[in-house]
Amino acid sequence: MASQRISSFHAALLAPGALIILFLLIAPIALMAVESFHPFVTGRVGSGSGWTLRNYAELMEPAYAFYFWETFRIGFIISAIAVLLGAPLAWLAARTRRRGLRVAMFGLLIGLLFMSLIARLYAIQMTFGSTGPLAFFGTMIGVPARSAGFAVVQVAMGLLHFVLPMVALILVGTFQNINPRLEEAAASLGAPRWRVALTVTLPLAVPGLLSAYMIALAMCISSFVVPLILGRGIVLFATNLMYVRFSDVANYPSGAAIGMIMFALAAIIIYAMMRLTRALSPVESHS
Amino acid sequence: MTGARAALDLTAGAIFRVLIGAAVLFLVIPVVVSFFLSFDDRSFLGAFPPTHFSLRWYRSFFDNPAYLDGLVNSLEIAAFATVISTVAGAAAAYALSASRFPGRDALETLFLSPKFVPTVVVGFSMLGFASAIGVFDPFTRLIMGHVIITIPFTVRATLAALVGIRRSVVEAAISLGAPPWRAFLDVTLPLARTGVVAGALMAFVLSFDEVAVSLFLADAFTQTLPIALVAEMRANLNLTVAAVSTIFAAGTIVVVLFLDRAVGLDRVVGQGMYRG
Amino acid sequence: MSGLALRDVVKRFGAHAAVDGLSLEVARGEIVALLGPSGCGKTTTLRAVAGFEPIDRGAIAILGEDVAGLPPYRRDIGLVFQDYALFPHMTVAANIEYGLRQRGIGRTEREPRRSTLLRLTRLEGLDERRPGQLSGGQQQRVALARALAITPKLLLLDEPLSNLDAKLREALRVELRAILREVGTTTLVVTHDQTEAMGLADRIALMNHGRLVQVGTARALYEQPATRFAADFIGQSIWFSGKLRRGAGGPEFVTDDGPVLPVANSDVQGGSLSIRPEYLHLPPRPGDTGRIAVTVAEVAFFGAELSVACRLKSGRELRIPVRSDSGAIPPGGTQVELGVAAERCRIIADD
Repeated sequence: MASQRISSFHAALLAPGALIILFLLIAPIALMAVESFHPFVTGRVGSGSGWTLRNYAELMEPAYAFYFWETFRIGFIISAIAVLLGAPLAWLAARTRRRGLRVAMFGLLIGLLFMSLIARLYAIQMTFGSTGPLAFFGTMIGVPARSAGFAVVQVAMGLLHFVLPMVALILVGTFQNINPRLEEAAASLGAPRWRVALTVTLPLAVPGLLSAYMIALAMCISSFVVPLILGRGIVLFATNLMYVRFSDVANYPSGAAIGMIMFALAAIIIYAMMRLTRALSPVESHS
Repeated sequence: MTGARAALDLTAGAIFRVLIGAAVLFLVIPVVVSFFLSFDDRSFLGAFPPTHFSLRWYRSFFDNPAYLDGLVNSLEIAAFATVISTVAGAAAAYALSASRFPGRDALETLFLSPKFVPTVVVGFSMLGFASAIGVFDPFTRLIMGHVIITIPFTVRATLAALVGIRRSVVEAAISLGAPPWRAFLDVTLPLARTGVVAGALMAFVLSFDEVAVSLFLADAFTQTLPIALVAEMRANLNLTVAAVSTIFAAGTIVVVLFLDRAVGLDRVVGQGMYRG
Repeated sequence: MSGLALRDVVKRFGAHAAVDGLSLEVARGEIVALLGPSGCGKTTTLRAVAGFEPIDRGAIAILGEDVAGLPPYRRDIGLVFQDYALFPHMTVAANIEYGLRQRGIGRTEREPRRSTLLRLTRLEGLDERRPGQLSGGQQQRVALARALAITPKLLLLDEPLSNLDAKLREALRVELRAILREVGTTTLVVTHDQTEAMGLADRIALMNHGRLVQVGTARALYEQPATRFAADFIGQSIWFSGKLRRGAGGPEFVTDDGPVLPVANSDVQGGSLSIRPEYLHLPPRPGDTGRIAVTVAEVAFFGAELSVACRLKSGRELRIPVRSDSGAIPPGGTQVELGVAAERCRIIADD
């Protein structure tokens, strides 16, 4: 394959997909970008004429900045918990020689990835809610199930249920690509298992762990359904704010501004993740 | 090992097991609770566990026209979106895998980019765009939205399968007398099939479960099942959603078993560089 | 009309010429090995003959017909890839029959052909297996059967034995040559392994840096290497630098290490003396007119052979093979003489 120019056959194959991306992603977002700089006229659907930065400036006000802060705060914490819980699970799935156990764990993770998120969120609400079997959990951590603050806990749990399977599956790949002989070598030199984990496995897994963390973070801050269902109106993410602005007040420009910020944030996180993992990876990865 | 180090090792091992146990329990328990609650005979949300069982909540699901309409809509939209997304995505993946031209890598990233855009942004921007170009039919809008969020998955799954096809196998077919199109049909297509199917499956599930995009693009008369569910549950939370959850869980189990039988879950997740 | 004729073939990748003016003729039914180190251009040549690599200059003709412009699927060649490239989703039978199907040959003709090939490659009974269920050796034979099924004008083998382990390699090499002789197709084998080349081919074409260095039978290349590269790549060489002069009994070479040896050829100016280690005899044999005085340093045991390290007065150490059953070796420290025949001392021009 020394050819440097695309054949017309291949170009024809790329065309439908490229057009889809162009018309269903690039154009809408570009339009949204333009909208975000238009002023909002109350009572009118759509925007007024002229350009303004007011939509963005508005979001810097404490009332709105609070939503972004909430979004990130919960996102940072839950992503960390997801990596913390997901790593041992992933390591076991990657290393175990028992085929039954491995397939069962893969099945669980893949199944959760496929299973309706809404169904799971309501399941969480019913399990940890005031009538559920695990209602004591709320009381245990000092935020009783009936209290207003419990909404934050539930949103956190919903997000965890959302990102944990994905994080675990990513980390399975990470651990699979760490040569098990290295761990065996360390063990044969006398290191107990925790030492092997801390000094051999984890340092090598850092790029993967970081990458999983950042993907989880991107998923958390972009999440709409979880705060919608479990937030009970008490917890609102920037994503929900976007919907509220649009549905309640038909303030399209403001929604567009929030959208642009969300888009930029997600893009920055993903880009940072890619650069970081490339910088940290000592060896070229396999695929 | 000295006593202190042995104790430390045991503690570490215990912590390890606790973390795994906690993770698995956290993931599984809500689904299990939901399963039991779906058969609860009480008409209200009572204390767990239920003492009397019935199928009332399953009946309430199938008796509710809003749910049934939503189900039909969701299935139709998912079907259309999956077909469009799979055809366009698989074709693009093939072209990407078979050619080298300046900008190819950038193009691949572009095809995968919708995955990184928050779904609210997709829904919101699609709404404005659809209005701007005069597309007002909610069904069409929903399909547009669902196509764009699923195409990264069809492209990536097909590409992964295609990359695994060694060039020499295709060349072998050509050397034996098959023109390139024939080699494609006889060798490339069958070998890439698992990737295409996996991508289509992911696309279908993703579309079926999508909320944010659908909320923006649907209207009062054309709702998807997730929207219908959320709307009803907001109005009055009851155990119909537990029944739905159990049905979905059953469906998921079937899909996972199918995947294991057809491809092997080991292969779906991959085995990394150091197999066995 | 030759089976395969390459004339002044040039293939460039950017500024680098992978094949730089290669001309070679393979007679009908002949087996020729294209031998050389990695990067010498042999694989590129093979791919050019197959039609997967267009050439920049020169001509390639198969059975007298110029194949320029013919795509691979119309050149009527059989290609056995290094990784076998079997179709993993088809059975052995379907693999073998694939080329026949492309030629529109119906089932009634395909089946007997398939049976013949399965018998020829000792794969009977494996029709319904998949490649994934076969051993390396079996896969290689299926690849061969698949290529031969179409009765190609030319058979191309790319490193046919390199993916097999040592013992299997040897057994299959013998078998492969037998099959090739029986079928009688013009064959070009590409390899970096001289044993493979010598075992499989009627003639060897030695390549380096995109050019042919020497073409000939294995014996010719071994006993009369034309260049320093040829002397080193095939077999082993002990090199002596020095000067050629006319001696009382004929041309002789005064080595810088001391010994003066009679030589076979005196036509080369300013070259080095090359002697294969096994031609240095301990003790000297009748007919060995050359003598090298050494001290026995060390004897290492390798089963059928011993490796004896001998030190020259100049301090340089030579290692020579001696058969284990050829009698006792003098102990370390003994001063002995190595004998060598004049015709085994060749002067080869420095590359």
